[in-house]
Amino acid sequence: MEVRSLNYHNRRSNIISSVLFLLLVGVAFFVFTKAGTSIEDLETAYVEQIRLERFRASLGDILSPLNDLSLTGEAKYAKKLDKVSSDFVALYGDVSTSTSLNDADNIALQDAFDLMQEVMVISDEIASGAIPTSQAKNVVTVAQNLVYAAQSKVNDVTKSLESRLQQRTDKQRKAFNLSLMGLVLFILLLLLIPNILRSRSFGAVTKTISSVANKVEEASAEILTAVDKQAVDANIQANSVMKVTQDLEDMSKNAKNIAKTSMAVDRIASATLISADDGAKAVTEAIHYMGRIRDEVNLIASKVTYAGEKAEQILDSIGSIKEIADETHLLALNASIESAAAGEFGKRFAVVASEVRRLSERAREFTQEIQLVVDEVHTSTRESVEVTQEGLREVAQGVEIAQRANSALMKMQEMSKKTSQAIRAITLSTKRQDATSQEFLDTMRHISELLQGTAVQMQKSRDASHRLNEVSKELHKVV
Amino acid sequence: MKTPESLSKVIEEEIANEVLYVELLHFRLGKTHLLLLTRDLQQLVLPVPYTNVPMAPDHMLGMANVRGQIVCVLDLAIMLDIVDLNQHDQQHCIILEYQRMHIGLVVGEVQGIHRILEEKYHAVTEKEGMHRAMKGSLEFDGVECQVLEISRLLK
Repeated sequence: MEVRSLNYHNRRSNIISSVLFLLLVGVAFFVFTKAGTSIEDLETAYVEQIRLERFRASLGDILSPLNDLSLTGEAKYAKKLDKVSSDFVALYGDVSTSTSLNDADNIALQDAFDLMQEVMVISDEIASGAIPTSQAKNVVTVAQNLVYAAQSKVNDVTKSLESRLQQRTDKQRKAFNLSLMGLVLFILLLLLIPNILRSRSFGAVTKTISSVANKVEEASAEILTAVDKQAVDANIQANSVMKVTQDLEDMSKNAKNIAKTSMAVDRIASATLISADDGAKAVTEAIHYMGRIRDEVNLIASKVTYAGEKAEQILDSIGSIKEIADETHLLALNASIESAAAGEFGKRFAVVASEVRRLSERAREFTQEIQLVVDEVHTSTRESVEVTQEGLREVAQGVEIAQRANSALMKMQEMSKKTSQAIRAITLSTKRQDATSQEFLDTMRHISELLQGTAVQMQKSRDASHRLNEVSKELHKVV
Repeated sequence: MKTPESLSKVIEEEIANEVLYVELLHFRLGKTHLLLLTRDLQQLVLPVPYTNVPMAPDHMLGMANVRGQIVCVLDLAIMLDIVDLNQHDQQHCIILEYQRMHIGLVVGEVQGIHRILEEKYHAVTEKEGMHRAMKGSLEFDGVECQVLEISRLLK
């Protein structure tokens, strides 16, 4: 159901009342206008009736001067007669233009006028002397009869007019009574309709108020619950804010410690930068010296290789010497064999051959020893070459490592600079953070105060909700 | 190294002592050390190229020309039933004459010549289990050497 406001109902009632009032004014205006018109018509009719009565009364006015004139023959009566005649004509002119007369009345009135014209002709003839005074009495009698006939005609007209006026009056009265009754009925209706509408609007408003009261009761209960919950939440919030405030204080202390530590780290980073510079210089020198070592080792390697080649030449020579020694030994053995074959004659030669054989054996032994030594030298030389080559590789690796170390130190320099910058930025940020934390701390304290104020406001809201609940109950009872 | 004077002195001393010596050629065949009387030998040469002889026995390797002499080359290892040999054991060829026939024995490394008293040589006796060509055995520098007799070998 659509709930409409009291203002709406009031406005609607006002509009309806205004419309009905305007309608009433219109109806009343119409009724009174119509009544006025009817009264005017009646007034006109009665004026015309009066004129007609004056016209009827003027019929007899001519007889008195006419009698006097016929009796006396004085001129003053003739003048009086002219005046009466002229008044009569004027009255007739007024009466003949009456709208209330019908055709029969006009004919009767015209007949009466004609009769009166005859009378006026008679009076004129009497006044002028055309009719002698002696005969004037008879003529006056005729004139009196004419007047009486005219009066009779006018009386008929008057009665007819009265009758019509009476009818019109009755009709107007009935119409007026009917209009009045309608007006009364309309007024009654006008009084009844707003009451009905008001009662209906009032019922709707009452229902709406009842519904609103119910809703207000429910809402106040919900507000009460919400306020209670909000109070609990506000307590929790206040505790949280206190904890956050405590944490913020700790954080502020930590930020100060961080600022101190970052300043110390800044000093360390500066020292690291200096050490990295020194290290880079040392590594550059090491690379330079390793290059020189590499050149020296290359020279040694070439020398050792040359020595190895010479050792190989010696080995070749030793092989030749060994062959010679073997052949010498073989010759010595054959010499011994020959001396043995010579028997007694070969004794001397046997001794020589023995010595030669011994010498050849010694030569073989020495050759073998030399070969062993040269082999060792050759092996050693080959190993030296290998070691030298290995050393060269190691030196190359060392140079590469030193270059990498140099690169790393350069990066370390760069990183140290960046670290120093970053630490300065951290220090600055930490100081700002400390200031911000302080502001935040103040804000949290302010929030805590606000929360305390909120708690008071909650209590007030709770009381207001209670009151609202009671009011809604009272409203419920009233509705 | 002896000087020529000392050498002459040694020679004179030996002749004056009239001590009889024999010389033995010491050589190897695989792991077997052998001795041969030098007076039975003609010369010692390096291995010579030889020509195979059709239908010859296994121990006869072939015929060779050594300084104009036709020599019958024999494989001493096969003759002495020595099997633990390899190709490096054919390093020398001992040339000798037996019953007007020139023979070449293919041997291994020649170690040298040992000079011993003739009595000691004759005192050498055959031991049990030795090859029939062996006279006996002598020990030099801790190495036992078997004494080979050509007459027994080629009999």
